Amino acid sequence: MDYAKHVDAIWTAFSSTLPPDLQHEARVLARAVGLVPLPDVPWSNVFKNEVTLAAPALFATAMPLATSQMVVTATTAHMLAVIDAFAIDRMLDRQVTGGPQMQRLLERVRAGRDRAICELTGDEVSPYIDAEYDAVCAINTERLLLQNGVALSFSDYSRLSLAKQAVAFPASLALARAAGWSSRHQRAVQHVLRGIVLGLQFHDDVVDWEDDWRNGGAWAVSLSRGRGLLDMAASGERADMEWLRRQVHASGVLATMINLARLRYREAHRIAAMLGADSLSTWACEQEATAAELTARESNSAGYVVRAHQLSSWAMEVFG
Amino acid sequence: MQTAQHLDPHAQLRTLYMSLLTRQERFDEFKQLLSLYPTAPGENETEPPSAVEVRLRLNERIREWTGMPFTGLSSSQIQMWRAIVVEERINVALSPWKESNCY
Repeated sequence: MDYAKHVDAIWTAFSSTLPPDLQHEARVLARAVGLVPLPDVPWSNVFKNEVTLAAPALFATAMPLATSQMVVTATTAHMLAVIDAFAIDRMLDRQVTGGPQMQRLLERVRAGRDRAICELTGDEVSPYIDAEYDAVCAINTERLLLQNGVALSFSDYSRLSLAKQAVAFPASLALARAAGWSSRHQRAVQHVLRGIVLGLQFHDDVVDWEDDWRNGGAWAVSLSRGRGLLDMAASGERADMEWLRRQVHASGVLATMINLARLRYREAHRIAAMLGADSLSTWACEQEATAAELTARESNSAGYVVRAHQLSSWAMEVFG
Repeated sequence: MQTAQHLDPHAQLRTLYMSLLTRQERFDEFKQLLSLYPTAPGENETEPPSAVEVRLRLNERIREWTGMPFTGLSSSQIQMWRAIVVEERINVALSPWKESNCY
C-alpha cells in the first residue's frame, strides 16, 4: 500500500466536505501549526515516518478480516485525531495562536474524527472524547511541573508522556476489534503503540530540550533535578543556558532518555513482529538501532544528540 | 608527508563534523565564529577586514580541530554555513523539517 497517497487522499476527501472558506485553511494547516515552513505541503510529506498518520493502516496488513473500508475509516479517524492533537498541543504551548478560522476548522476535524471512529465501533460515544481530555490534562500538568523546574522521576516522565499521547490509540484498537482480533491481540496492539509513541516522544524530548527550556520548561532539566544533580537555586530563578547545559550533561539524563526510547522501540519491534505487522516491526527495529547508536554516542559525549540535530541541515548540505 | 586522504576535502569535512559532534566547546566556538561573520558583503563586494579576520580565525581553528592541512573556507562558503547553522535559514528543497518532525 502507498501510505503517502492514502493519507493525502484522506485529507483531500475530508477537505472536500468543508465549506469553501475553510478549504484554504485546511490546505495551510500544517504550516499554521508550525510543522512545515511552506503552505501546500501534503501531509504525507510533513512527518518523516508513516506511523504517525497511518498507524491503523500499518497494523491492518496483519489483519486478514480488515476490509479496505474499515482501514480507510480507521485511518481517517487516526489521522484527524493526530492532526488535531498537534494543533491543540501547539496552542496550549502558545507556539501558535489559533484564530477563529483555525478553531472552526479544528471543530470540523474533531467532528470528522468522531464520526469515523463511531462508524467503526458502532458506538454512540467517541472514545476520543476521553482520550482528548486525558491528553489535555497531561499537557497542562506537564507544563505546570516543567515551568516550575520541579524535580521529577523517570516514572513520572513515562506516565505523563503516555497520557499526552492518549489519542494515538483508539483508531488502531477499534480496527483490531472490528477485524475480529482477540483481546490478547488488542493488548499487543496497545503495547506496540505505546512503544512507538514513547520512543518518538523520548527522542524528541532529548533533541529539543534546549528549545523546550527556552519556551517554558524541559524534561531534561526536571529529570536532572530528580537525580539531585542540579541545584537551580545556585544560579537564580531562570538559569543561564550555558551553565544549565553543563549541569544537564553532567547528570547523564539525556543518555538515559534516549536509552528509554531504545527500550520502547524494542518493545514495539518485537510485538509488531509477533502480530505479523512487518513494516511496523521493521520501522521500529530501525528506530531501535538508531536509538542504540545515539545512546552510546550520548554516553561518550554528553550533548551529542542535540549537536547532531543542530548540525543536521549543515551536514545534509556539505555531505549531500 | 600528506596522504591522499589528508587532501580529500570530504574527509576533512567529516573529521570536522565528528569533532563538532563530540566536543560541545568546539561546537559553540564554531557557531560563535560563524555568527561573527557579517551577512552582507562589503562595498564592491569586497570582504571587510573584520570579516577576513573572522574567516582566518575559523580556518585556523578548523585546522587545529581536524589536525589536517585545511585549504580554508571562502567568504561565500562561510556565508552559506552561517545561514544554515546560525540563522537556521535552510534550503527548503532538502525538507529538513521532516528531520525535526520525528514524530
